Formats: sequence, C-alpha cells, structure tokens
Amino acid sequence: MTAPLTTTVTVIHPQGIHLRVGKNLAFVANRFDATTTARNLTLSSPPINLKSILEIMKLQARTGHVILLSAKGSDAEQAIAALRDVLECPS
Amino acid sequence: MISLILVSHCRDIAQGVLQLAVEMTQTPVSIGAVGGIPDGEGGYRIGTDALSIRDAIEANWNSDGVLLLVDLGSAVLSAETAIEFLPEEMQSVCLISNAPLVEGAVIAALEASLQHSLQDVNRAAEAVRCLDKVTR
Repeated sequence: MTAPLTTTVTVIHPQGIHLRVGKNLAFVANRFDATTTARNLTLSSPPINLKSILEIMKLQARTGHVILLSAKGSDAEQAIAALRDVLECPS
Repeated sequence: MISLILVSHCRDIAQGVLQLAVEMTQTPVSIGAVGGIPDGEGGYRIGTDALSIRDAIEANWNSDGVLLLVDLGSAVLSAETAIEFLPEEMQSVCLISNAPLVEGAVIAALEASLQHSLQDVNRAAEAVRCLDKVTR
C-alpha cells in the first residue's frame, strides 16, 4: 500500500484560512481523485477532508499556523502541489 | 445542477446572504433571494410571503432539485405553503433545509457549484449545525 504524500505549509494569509481561501482549497481538492486531508499541527487538530468547506473551517487556521497537507491516490502529486499553491498564493 | 432559494423575514438579510452565497460558487448556481413583504410604498417590511417564495422557485427552477434555506418561524411556514402551490412533480424535488440560513447558504452554494445532488448538498449544509466556531 502506497504511503500518502505529505508536505507542511505555514499559513501566510493575514486572516488565516478565511472563507475565500477555504473555498479555493475545496474547489481545488475536488478537481482531483486523490483523497486529500489537512491537519493543523499548531493546534494538534485531527485530519480534515479538504473536499469539504465545512471541514476546512474546522481547521481554525490562523496566520503562522503550520498545516500538514496529505494526499493519497493516482494524482496525489498534482493534488498536493495545487493545494500548496492555494495556501502560498496570498488572496 | 440544483438551485437554491434563500428566505428571510428581512429583505436586506436575504439579499446579503445571496451576495455571500454567490461569492462561494465557482460555476454559476441559480440562487433566488426572498425577504420581507412589500409595504405598498416601494419598500419592504419584515415578514415572509408564500407567493413570492413560489415565484422565486419557479424563476430559479431546476429539475435536479431546489433547496430552500430559511430563517425562522413563518419563513418555514411560508416556504411550506409556497411548495404546496407548485404542481406535484415540482414539489417532489423541493426540499426545505434544517441548516441555519447564513452558514447553510455558504456551504450549499459551494456544494451546488460542485454539481452535487440535492440530498448531498442538503446533508453538507445541515452538517454545519455541529460546527464549533471557536475552540474552548
């Protein structure tokens, strides 16, 4: 069984992962077949499903929090790169 | 793709939630907003009107389904009455959500935009009732 791909990203948005960033994450995650999750390492929170905006809000991610992104599936590599782009692109 | 109908006692609330919901879509979702009752002087007073809700359902009709997100009290009754005014084949794909209006509309707009089914969109919207907004 293949291990999931993971990467950590520090939240740089001044308002954290706010609603619009959350929306972008959800739409990007839904473009891929891979199962994609995120954990807020700063809050030691459990993993959430990135395909759900409601789950993303549960991250309560503020500026400076460290997020562990995880992706598993045939297009996991592309998914994790695209999700990282959303978090690293201020909007 | 399903449509959404937002119902509030207050026209400004309905219009504001509409603005927020549209912001959450990626592909266009048909969303109607109904709030208040015409006061006869060009403005609106607080209240809900079943006929206006029915008109909004018809104007935003989609046979995939119509999810109604409402605030409280007579908004629920008026939404139920509005659905009863519709032909039976339309009634069967209209659903009043138990989700709170604002949060439900945000979630539902995104989920509808992802072309999820009526039941799936409603399930996602209603799940917001269990969301803690702050950690204590």
